[in-house]
Amino acid sequence: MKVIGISGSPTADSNTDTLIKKILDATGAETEFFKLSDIKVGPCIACMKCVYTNECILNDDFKWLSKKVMEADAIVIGSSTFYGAASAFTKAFIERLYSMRHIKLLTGGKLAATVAVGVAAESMVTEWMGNALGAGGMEIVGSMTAKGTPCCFVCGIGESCHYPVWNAYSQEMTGMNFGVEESYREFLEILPDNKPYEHGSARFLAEYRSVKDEPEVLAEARKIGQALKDKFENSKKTAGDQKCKC
Amino acid sequence: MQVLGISGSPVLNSNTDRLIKTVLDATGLEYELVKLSEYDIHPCRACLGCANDNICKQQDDWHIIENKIKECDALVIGGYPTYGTLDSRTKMLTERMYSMHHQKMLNKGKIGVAVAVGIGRGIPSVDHAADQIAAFMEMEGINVIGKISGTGNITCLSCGYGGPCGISGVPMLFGAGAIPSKDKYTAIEDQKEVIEKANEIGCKIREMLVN
Repeated sequence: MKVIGISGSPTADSNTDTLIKKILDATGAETEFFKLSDIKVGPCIACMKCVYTNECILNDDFKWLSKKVMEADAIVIGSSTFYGAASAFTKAFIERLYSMRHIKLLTGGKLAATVAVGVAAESMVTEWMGNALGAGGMEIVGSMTAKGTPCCFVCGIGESCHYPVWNAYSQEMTGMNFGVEESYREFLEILPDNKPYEHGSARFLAEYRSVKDEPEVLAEARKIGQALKDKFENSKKTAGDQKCKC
Repeated sequence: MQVLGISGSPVLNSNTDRLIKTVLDATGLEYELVKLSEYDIHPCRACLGCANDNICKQQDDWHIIENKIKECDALVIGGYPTYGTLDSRTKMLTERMYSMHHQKMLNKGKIGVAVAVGIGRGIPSVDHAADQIAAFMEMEGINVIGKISGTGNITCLSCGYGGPCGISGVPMLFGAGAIPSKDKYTAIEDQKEVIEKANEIGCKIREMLVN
């Protein structure tokens, strides 16, 4: 079994990377990990030159990455969440997979798992990645989310800025409850005089949030890796049984 | 330049481009339409090098677009859905505009319009893409005065494959057994309500900026 991990998170050694690698490890398979921000995979140009060849004509790193995808039995894809959606790195990669879809649905039958990390709306991202890979005929074996370090923890002025991410996703600004305050209770105290986009007032209780400190999150990643392994072995067994009957 | 249109569609003179242009024309003001696919821009690398001075440290064509954004009073951003969410080029633009967010919120108070063109015909992805642009604008403190969704053409109409395709989107949109044909194409100009709405929003931009 061959499994590849693809991270659309541009941060070095990010939470997204950690979770993808955990899943890869738990498959016990031959694995490779690629970080889209280390290579060049640009957006689709909608030229439709891939209709008959299923090969994208753009001359960038998707040329070899698409071969890695084709060789893999399973794909683990992870993204950070920016503005409530997958990173543009992830988005561009998934658009380019479209070249393999036409007529033949070349990625059909592969197994896949998705990971999204964010401060809010990461469940929308993992769901979207699952839908997109599902449109490529892949079977989504597992998907997971985790809370990451808000960039406002590390920018240097987050405690007093009027526009931090928890204010951008606040009920006052979005009309929706993303539960940011609740899910960051041990990391962030939003002070009573905070008023989104007018007056920023918060206190940090931690410098960062790492999935490495959250055993239940890591356990979920391991579970997904194991599920990929089991699924692959079962499908191989089923294929073998069918062969015997012939 | 008072009004800036930005299109994430890579297709030449696309329905997305023309819908944005309809809004821009209706303003009667000086405008420019920028097509992202003609520029070399990349996703945000989350380095936070922009946190203090609001200037992205990546050296690419973003800085050309950034200067145009700084100059304009109204911003009309148009994209299209791929796999149900906003295309990666328009997404890149939103991510790179984040450099203007920190501390000063440089685009706060500008007028914003979100435009999207998708396969439509009851498929909700086009509204989702427009909502995504509008939500981004609101996070940037931009005053979103309108969202417009138009109907474009599914790639399966123009892919050129004449044979039976098990994954064609044509039957999904036009009914079982439907095959690609010229009469199934749509142009944004033929969508009266969409054009009317674009004109109305363009006029509203003018009213807000001139009066």
